[in-house]
Amino acid sequence: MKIRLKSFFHFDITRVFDQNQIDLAGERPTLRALLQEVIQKSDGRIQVIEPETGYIDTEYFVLLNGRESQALPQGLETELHDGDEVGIGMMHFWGGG
Amino acid sequence: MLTRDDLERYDRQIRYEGFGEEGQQKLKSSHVIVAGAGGIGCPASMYLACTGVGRITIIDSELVELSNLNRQVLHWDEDIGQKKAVSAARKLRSLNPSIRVVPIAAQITETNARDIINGASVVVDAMDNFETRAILNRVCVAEGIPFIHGGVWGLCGQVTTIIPGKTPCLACLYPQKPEEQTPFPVFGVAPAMVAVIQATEAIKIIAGFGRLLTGQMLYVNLATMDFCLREVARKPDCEVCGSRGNK
Ligand SMILES: [Zn+2]
Repeated sequence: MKIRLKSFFHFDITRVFDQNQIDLAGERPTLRALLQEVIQKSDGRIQVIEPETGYIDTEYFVLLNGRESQALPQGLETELHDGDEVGIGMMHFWGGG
Repeated sequence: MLTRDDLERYDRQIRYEGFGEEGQQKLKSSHVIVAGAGGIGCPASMYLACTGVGRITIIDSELVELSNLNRQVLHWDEDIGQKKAVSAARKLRSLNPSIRVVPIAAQITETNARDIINGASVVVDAMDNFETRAILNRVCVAEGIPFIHGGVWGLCGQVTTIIPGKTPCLACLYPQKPEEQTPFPVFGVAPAMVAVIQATEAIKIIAGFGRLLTGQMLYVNLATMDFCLREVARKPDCEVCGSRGNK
């Protein structure tokens, strides 16, 4: 199943994922499974999920097809479908250059 | 009134439907504050100047350093050691001698912020730190002046347009000081991209056309060419614009 990934990080994700989509294994992968894949592939540099609580870290936002993950009835357990678009990013980029 | 020179200088944008001579006149009568003459402030003020904003105040307390020159495009090698506000103003006047450019080589503080932005049409956030952004946000909300926030890091950036009383303010979105790293990595193209979007927002607000980044944060990542809009909401108990605020 191919999921389109949009990313907004301090970390250069192109060094981890050479394409803007992730091929997820399993019949019914969830949003959580995708985020865990991102965390694992980034060697933990992108800590989207707080290990203690299992929720999205307050420093990050996660969008599924433009909708905030918190607004999804199933939250991170929402099942993904082929062609879904997931946006993950840091809440702030504060420099003025 | 637009002069013959104005009509020629701005001919190509006056032709834009829904803008015209009326929009140009509004820009000419406007006053935009560009808070910061760095990676965002330089390109933002350049586009505001060449579009014909009648008065631009550019504020920065720092001096030009060699390490600024990869991105702060109004400062050149010969300007190293000069005040950024003065260096920027000199180039902007040369770019468009028909407008008024006022440099302020001072830090924005709680004490002077209100006087500096008094009567401005729009304030462009080109700062590089949370504290000054917070001051500008508070004063813009109190004075009812649109505040266009932009920030960058590396090849990423963010922009939102704050209309006091209507959209979330910066304190709604960031009630606490986020972690900051200085110096932070940045390519000049990232603040340039953010600045051009901010300048466009300012032009649309003043001339009164188009759709704004209100209630939305635009995130861009030039490393992946990803763009996304995220809905952002007011915090009813915001310390600045909500029930716990002064206004
Ligand atoms: Zn607020």
